[in-house]
Amino acid sequence: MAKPKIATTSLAGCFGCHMSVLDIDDRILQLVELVDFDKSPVDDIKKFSAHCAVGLIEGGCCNQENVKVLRDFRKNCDVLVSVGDCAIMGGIPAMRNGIPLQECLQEAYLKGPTVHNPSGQIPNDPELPLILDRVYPAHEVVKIDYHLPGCPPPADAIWEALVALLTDKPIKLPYPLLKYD
Amino acid sequence: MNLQQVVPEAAARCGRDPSRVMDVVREVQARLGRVSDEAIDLIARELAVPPVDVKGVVTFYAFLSRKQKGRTVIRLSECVGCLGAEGHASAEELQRQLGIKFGETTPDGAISLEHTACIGMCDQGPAALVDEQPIARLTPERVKDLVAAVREQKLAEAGFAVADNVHKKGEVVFAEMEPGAGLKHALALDPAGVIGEVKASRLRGRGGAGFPAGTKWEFCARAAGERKVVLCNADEGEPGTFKDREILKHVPAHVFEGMAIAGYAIGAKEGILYLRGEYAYMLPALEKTLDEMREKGVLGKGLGGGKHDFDIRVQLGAGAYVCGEESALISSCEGGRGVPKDRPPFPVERGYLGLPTVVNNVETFATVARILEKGAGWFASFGTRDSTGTKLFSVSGDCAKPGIYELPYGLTVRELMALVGGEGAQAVLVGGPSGSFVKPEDFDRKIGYEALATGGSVMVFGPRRDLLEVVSGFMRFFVDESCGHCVPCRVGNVLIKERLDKIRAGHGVAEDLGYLEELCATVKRMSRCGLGQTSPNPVVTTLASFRGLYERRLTESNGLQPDFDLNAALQAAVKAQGRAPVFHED
Amino acid sequence: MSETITFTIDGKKIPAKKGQTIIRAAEEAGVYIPRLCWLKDLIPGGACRVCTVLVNGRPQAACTQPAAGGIVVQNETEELFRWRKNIVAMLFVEGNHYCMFCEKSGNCELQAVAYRFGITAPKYPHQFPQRAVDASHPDVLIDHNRCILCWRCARTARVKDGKPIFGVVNRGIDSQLAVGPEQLGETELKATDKAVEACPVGALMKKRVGYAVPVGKRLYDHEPIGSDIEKAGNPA
Repeated sequence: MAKPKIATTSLAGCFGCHMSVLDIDDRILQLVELVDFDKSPVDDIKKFSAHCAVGLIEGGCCNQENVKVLRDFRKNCDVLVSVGDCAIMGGIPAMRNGIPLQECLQEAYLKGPTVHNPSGQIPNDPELPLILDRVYPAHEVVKIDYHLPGCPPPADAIWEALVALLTDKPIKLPYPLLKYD
Repeated sequence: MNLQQVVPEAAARCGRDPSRVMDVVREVQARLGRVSDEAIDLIARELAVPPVDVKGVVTFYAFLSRKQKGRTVIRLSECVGCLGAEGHASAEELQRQLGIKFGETTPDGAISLEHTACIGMCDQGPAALVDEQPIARLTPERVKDLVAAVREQKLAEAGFAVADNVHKKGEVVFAEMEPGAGLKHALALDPAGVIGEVKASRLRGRGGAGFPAGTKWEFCARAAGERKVVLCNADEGEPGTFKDREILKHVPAHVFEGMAIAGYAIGAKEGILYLRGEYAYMLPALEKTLDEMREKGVLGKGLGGGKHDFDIRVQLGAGAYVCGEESALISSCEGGRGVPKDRPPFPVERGYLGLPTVVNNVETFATVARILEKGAGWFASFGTRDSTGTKLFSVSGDCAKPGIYELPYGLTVRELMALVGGEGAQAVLVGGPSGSFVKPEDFDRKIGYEALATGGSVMVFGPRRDLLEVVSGFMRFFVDESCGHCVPCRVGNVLIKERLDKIRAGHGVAEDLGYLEELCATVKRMSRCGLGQTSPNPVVTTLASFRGLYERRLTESNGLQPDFDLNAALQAAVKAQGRAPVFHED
Repeated sequence: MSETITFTIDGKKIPAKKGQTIIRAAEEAGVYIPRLCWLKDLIPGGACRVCTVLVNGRPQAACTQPAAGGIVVQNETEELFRWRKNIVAMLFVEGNHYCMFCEKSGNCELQAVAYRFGITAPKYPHQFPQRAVDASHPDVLIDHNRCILCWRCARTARVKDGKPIFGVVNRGIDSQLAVGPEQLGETELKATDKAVEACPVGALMKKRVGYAVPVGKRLYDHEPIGSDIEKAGNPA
């Protein structure tokens, strides 16, 4: 039987949760015995090559591109897991929520105390994805099946969750592995 | 007029009593158009209370403001009962005529325009308060006249007086009574005898909760303490309720006499009538009645040949529905934020200023006067076994004859609808938003404590009403009126309304109904006072009786969240960056 | 005063002094009732409602409800567990709680109760309110984003420090912790005041402390909140 496939992505995140995936250390060898990685920064596969069993989502949605990728994941994965606080509640990028976008751009590119921008331009290349009015947690854009909190979630928590998912067992994190920081 | 003059005057008027913060801030607001931060500090010093507490009071009540208001404030009721098609059109016209939006003041500082919660004019809405004066039956045409009259300061002559609307006078509350007859009979008994009479009448509180009045009095009479207080709750704010308005207009003496009787029964010499800020226009007439009663010897010292001393003062509120909750009413009377108190201790043990206090509704006291006049047996011959006597129903909404009806308990919804011309209603809301929506199949249910309990609010919704819009309006009311002290009511009601509106917008999915039910149960079971314990009822009772209305608006999720609108979420960026989004297909 | 009564919590016999609240008696008997706005030796607030128990079947806040002889109290029922969890979930979406960089993380009672309840995902939509930080005081700051309106600071300041500095302004969802006069820096608050210690979350914080305790050694890193109470009452 073919090994199940997993896909991963980092949306409005810092890749810290991906680092935490790698932090499972030598268990990564067991993991590749269990699964094949499909679309993921881990193997640099850019497009889904097949339907996947599990999609791991890092980060919330802060721009149009994030939404597109997330919807693509929903379409191509049986189970989606929000990994980390940014996917779950927007995280640090969501600190701009509640502040109008225009003000955020002004602060970031023109008025902020550390800004050096002699051209006085706000980046606006057509290639840049447009920014959303606020940062949306992943589950506000598509249906998310499981949530693994943490910033990042401990490697052990990711391992426990993956093993449970791949062996059709319920995810039960022991107390010390449930952390929001 | 300046602050240094107004504040000390207001403070002196109430003896610099720290428990009279409400009166002082009300006066400052009325005379200066706001209670500024400077005024707050001054009031705090004059009354020796912490400034943060004065600030807490000023920011709690809807009619008080730290920001400058216009010399005249027009407050349009945004209550469901008032906001039919005429209401929306009148709101538009008000903005057009004044050239400002709600929440703004005309540039000359003359007029502020605001929304307000139910002002108790549900039978003749759309309605507004112009400062203290109620204006009923608004239409865009009348709005023009109204604004002109306000501008010319000729409102009094402009013929906006509110009409009488009592359609049925019953045997108890609205019947003629010789002034002092009830009190005279009471004073012929000993206090225990009076309580016995009230218990024998099986009178239950008319505010809605229905606690037996005699039992409450007995608890208070037994409570230790020399000084006790009788509090009359005239803070009717439940949308669809306006019976106290008519009682206080037509038979205020019955109410005051009932309070004097209660005072005798429990051993209290002082009474307070807490009048909602929306009814401030009634104050002069009420004060006049009190004076007349003092002259006639129904109030004052040495009543019944020296057996009883009793007098009453009127405490004005300032716009907060939650103050109708008895312990919040006490907090407000004490000059604080209208936040309910923890029970125990119950008010009968430790109420106003820590004194044993009986709190009853306006209608309850008016009824008591008649019970003592005519006897418990006479009273109990009306109504049913569990719900004795007559009850005032405030009927509003889609019916031919909205207004007040005094009827014996025990009639069915159908009978009441026939009387008021409300046949063909798709739903009747009995007991206001914290009561229940009754569907036509249940119109044979009886109105009374054994079936449909109510403080008297009956709102009729005709076949063309969007019931979920009505429900959403009520949830907005509860969101606005939650005191904010406890988490489930403060946050839960916001979340209920949010999800309800998601469903109304056609973005709900099947799971949202379970989500709502769980949320409502949490708010009902975990909230601290009656407001939160009943605020989800508009949703709970429509989910039970009109589930189809919700189900018809649900959609499929297909793994995507239907309420996430990418295009809408991009509009801020489109505006800020001046380019349109590109949607790639691949 | 020391008249003793007995009642039960989930079938366990609990002795109590007359007039004692349910939460206090439970605590002394080794039964943890989850709570956020309650502090031992402080007047109860009845605000968070997390300590709601069923008293003879009726929901009552254990922090304000006096124990009475023979009452039957239920603390661990499936419904109460859900309702309490819902309230905690409400608090997380009402404010802006960024645990990932909060100095209080690991020692925060809101977070700890959520851990104990096993909350992994936000149940309700985040409200993302815009709230201010008051850093006007030289030694203490208020971050309103993290405030859960438990009023522990306000009550402690009044009762223990004798300073009616803190209060509440506005109402409903707009309610906010306020100080009088305008800013914290204008008050007579001292960093050593008991009120500062009373905050269960990271809303009222001493400045220049930062992340003083390393991860792994913080209060709730290894054992759920309430474990100390349960252990003390049930020695192995």
